[in-house]
Amino acid sequence: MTTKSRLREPLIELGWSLWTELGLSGWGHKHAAWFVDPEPLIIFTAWLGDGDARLRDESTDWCVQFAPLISATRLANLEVASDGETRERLGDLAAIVSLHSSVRWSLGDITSAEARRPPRHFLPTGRSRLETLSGASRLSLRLRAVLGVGARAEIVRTLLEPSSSPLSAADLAEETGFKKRYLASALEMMQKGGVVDGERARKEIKFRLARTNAWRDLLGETPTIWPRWIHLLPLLTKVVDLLERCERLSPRMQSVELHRAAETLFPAVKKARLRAPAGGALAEVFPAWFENVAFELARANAAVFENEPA
Amino acid sequence: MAFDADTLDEALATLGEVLDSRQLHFEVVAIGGGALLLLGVLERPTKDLDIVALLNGGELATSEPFPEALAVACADVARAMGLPPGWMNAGPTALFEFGLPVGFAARAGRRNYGAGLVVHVASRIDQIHFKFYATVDDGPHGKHIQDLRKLAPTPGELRVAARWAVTHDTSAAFRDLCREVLTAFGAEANFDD
Repeated sequence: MTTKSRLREPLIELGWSLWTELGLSGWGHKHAAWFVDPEPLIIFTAWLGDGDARLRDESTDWCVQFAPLISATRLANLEVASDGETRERLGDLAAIVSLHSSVRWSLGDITSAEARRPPRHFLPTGRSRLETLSGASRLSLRLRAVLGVGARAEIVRTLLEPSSSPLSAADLAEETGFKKRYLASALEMMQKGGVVDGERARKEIKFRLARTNAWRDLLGETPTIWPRWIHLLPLLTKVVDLLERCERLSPRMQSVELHRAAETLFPAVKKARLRAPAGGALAEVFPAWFENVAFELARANAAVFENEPA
Repeated sequence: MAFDADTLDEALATLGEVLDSRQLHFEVVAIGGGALLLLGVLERPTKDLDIVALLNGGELATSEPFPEALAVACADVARAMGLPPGWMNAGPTALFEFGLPVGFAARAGRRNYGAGLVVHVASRIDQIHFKFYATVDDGPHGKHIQDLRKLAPTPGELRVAARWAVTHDTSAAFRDLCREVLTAFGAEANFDD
């Protein structure tokens, strides 16, 4: 097995499982108890590209069918951090969604989009099904059905997480991918409506859900595992890109690049709440550490997370 | 970590490769203990490589501060190899500001480290200049006098070095110390032209 496929295969498997949780036509879904986050998943799948053509086409089919459940704003905000190739593929996806539905996503670089070839040939299969939004992994979609597609649903979702401490608008911006100003305005209205409580902490106001148990009763089954996909999925793509790039380098350069990456990516590893050796030690075991994380994520082993039992 | 000749060479080769991979090219001019290791004159370990100047388009230029891309690449190499942050530094840049020996650049030896890095190593006679100056400053029990002895300077070379040293410190006291060093090496204490 090549390094490329060894690194990407578990991620493709992870992609299949997460999409299947959201109603995509697939067999292997292992993340029923996990929170699944649609927009980061769409971007992650665009990064996977043609690595699995069936996953690409079936996820496109899901997007065509269920685009109204996706936040175009959030998708556009999160897309900014992607590499050029991924953005090009997202532009392609937006063009297909636009061609086959009434939804318009503003994705991909506009300048290159104008010069871009027509989107790849795509025939909707209609295989994806979302007869119900119940189940832990569909919490995000369920909240959108209740609160609409936008910041409010993401605020409630983030504050519902059992380990969540009160969060400021800035914290929520980092966790949701919506702009701080937009969130602050939503939070103000939600506070007036009695949905969230705010308490001043120095110069910030920290928010928590006012009646968490009432929300849980309303929403039904909620996840037991809350991965921060918004941080985790981009990290996985960056590490794979790095390790694949390192393959072509001399041992000297590999060492330099791995040490550099271990330092620059360590904050992202912490944000994603992954267990990892601290400091320079991560660089020494980077490829093996990553392979283990990818493999365990694909088989839904939450022990890769710091806050879960090993 | 202290360098021996092999580890210093390895660090420079790595730096050259890093710079090349980033499509960068730098030429640095090295003096001091690290440069003597590269010349094969010194065997004692040294903690760093002193860069007295950069060479840009054939012209010597100050190395203080290092260009950012060079500093970043040095830091990356340090991290990967477990070297101290200042393993390659612009410490002796004052020597360049006050003036290097005449003909210094032409005499320096060139060492290529891939397409990314060239290290110009100060020649033996120029190292004698610098080590003489450092010895006067350092006293008779420091490491510099040992390095100067390793360079096996002739009395004539020492007098030339003394004439250059006093252009950096024109005080009468410094001139007296120069004479003492010359005497310690068995050279004639009068070094005026």
